[in-house]
Amino acid sequence: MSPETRTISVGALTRVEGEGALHVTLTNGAVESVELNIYEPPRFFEAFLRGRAYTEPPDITARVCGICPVAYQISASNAIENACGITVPPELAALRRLLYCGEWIHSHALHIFLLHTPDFLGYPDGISLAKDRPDLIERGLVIKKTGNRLMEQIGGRAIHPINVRLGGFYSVPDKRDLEPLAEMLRHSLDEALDVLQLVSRFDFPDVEFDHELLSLTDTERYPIENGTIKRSAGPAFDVAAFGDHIVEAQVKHSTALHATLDGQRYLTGPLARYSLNSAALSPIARQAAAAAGLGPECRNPFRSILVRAVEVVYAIEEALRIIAEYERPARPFVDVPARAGVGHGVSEAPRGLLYHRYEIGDDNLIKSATIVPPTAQNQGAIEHEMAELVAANLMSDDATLTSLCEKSIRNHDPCISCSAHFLTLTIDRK
Amino acid sequence: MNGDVLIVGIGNEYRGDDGVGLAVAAAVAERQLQGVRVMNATGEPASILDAWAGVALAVVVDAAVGEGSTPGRIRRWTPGREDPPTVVSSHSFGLAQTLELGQAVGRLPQKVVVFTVDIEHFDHGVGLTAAVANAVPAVVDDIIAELEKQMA
Repeated sequence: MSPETRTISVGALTRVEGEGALHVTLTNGAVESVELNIYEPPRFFEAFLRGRAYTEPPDITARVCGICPVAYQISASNAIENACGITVPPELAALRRLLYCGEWIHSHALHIFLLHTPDFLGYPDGISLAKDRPDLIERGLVIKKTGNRLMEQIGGRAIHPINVRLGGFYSVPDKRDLEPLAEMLRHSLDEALDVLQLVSRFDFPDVEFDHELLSLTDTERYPIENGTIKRSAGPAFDVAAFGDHIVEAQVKHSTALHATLDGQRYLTGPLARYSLNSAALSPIARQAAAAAGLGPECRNPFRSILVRAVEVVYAIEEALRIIAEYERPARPFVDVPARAGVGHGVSEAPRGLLYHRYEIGDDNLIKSATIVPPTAQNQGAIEHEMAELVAANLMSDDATLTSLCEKSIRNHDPCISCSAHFLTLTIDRK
Repeated sequence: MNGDVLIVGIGNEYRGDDGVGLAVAAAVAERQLQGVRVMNATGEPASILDAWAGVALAVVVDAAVGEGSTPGRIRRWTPGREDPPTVVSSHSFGLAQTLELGQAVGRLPQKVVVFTVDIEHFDHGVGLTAAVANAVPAVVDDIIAELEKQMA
């Protein structure tokens, strides 16, 4: 290594879902490259979906992720229903949204309290934070439990729910089954509003990034379980045109494909969702966001913890609204007869837009499957943000830079296991 | 001891021998012991902290790995001075961390006993290797003996 070379290494990234590494090369004091190494082995989901019955993807793809299985189930269902020309009636779509609210609540609560807050309060992990601030972690556990209970009630169990099927659900709850949940949700709403105030007092680095933003949008509400595609710069496009605009390519340093939007890096997830849809938030969530210092748009990834806290407030309110309006559907599902053809499905996973595409053959079997998870889409933006942050802090020592990079990655709550088709850190200074 | 015992089987049945904790939990459940609840867990801490907070006794069964491990070897561990066993954990959050977190937020059982079974592998696929499967009845016997000891 020449005197101009500086190497900083971290063995494995922590407080992210899955396994990955980071390699930063600095040559003559300038950032030469930043590579997010996703080294989890490929999982071949798209390959082994081929030849399976057209009814199976919601259950099979739920296994992609233990944190966001509902996202996989709903995007898969949306895609196959689209191929078969079926639209789920509003009362069943509302129940899907209710289940999805549970996933947003538990996933965001986990990230806010156990994974992200330690970065702002100067703790190495959630456990050491819990030792000093048990009140904070206890609060997180209460909110998370509410999300999990919601998933158990509607989905049959909290991890890898079993009650979702094409056209709706295997069974639907009675209205009275939802009453205890409403009580938990009301309590958690107060907790979530307090939490938002609390995290709004954290010290946030003053940085913004100019990625194009991509998210779903919905004519009436903040997007969750379905929607149309919206972007911050170019014109919106139809879900069926996803593959025309989003192109995945292999890179040498990652087992996850890198995606571009019309050839450019872009960002999906809470920042994109909020910036493109904040006007669609409920009045309470919108007011709470404003009180926490958020404008209609947020491009500072460190402030994503605020956006997640706003989304927790919103998801709880939405769950309460859906429960209040709930009437037990006459049938738990509508029939989805197989039809040969191609279908596209999207939904907003906690980490961002999740796209599925299936081709169903004449034999009612899956001919081809494409799954584009949010973390894979965000890798380019994450690498860009780290490169900019390192470039702006070149005088910092290796430990400071390493910590900055890890925080930068955690801002996006990457789900490496989902994207591996993700962390150890090395920085080379040449 | 009545109505206040929780058996927690931790593991992933789709990762080979990592399913041993679940196999033991299932075998204990089959005995239908009065006052004994059985829980399957992935290792995710929040659900375990919820389930065991305040119970008189929690018996946890998990798969163990590490240098010098002998597939099928059963070990009993209680939180204290001895280092915790190295258990299989996919998200770097093992039983020791769950115990620490539980301690910090005051969500622990009155007593925790941990049984671990050394495993051969946690590759993809279902089914236990013979040495690990053979250990299951012995762990069940150890758990029953543990419950009797606590009841005495």
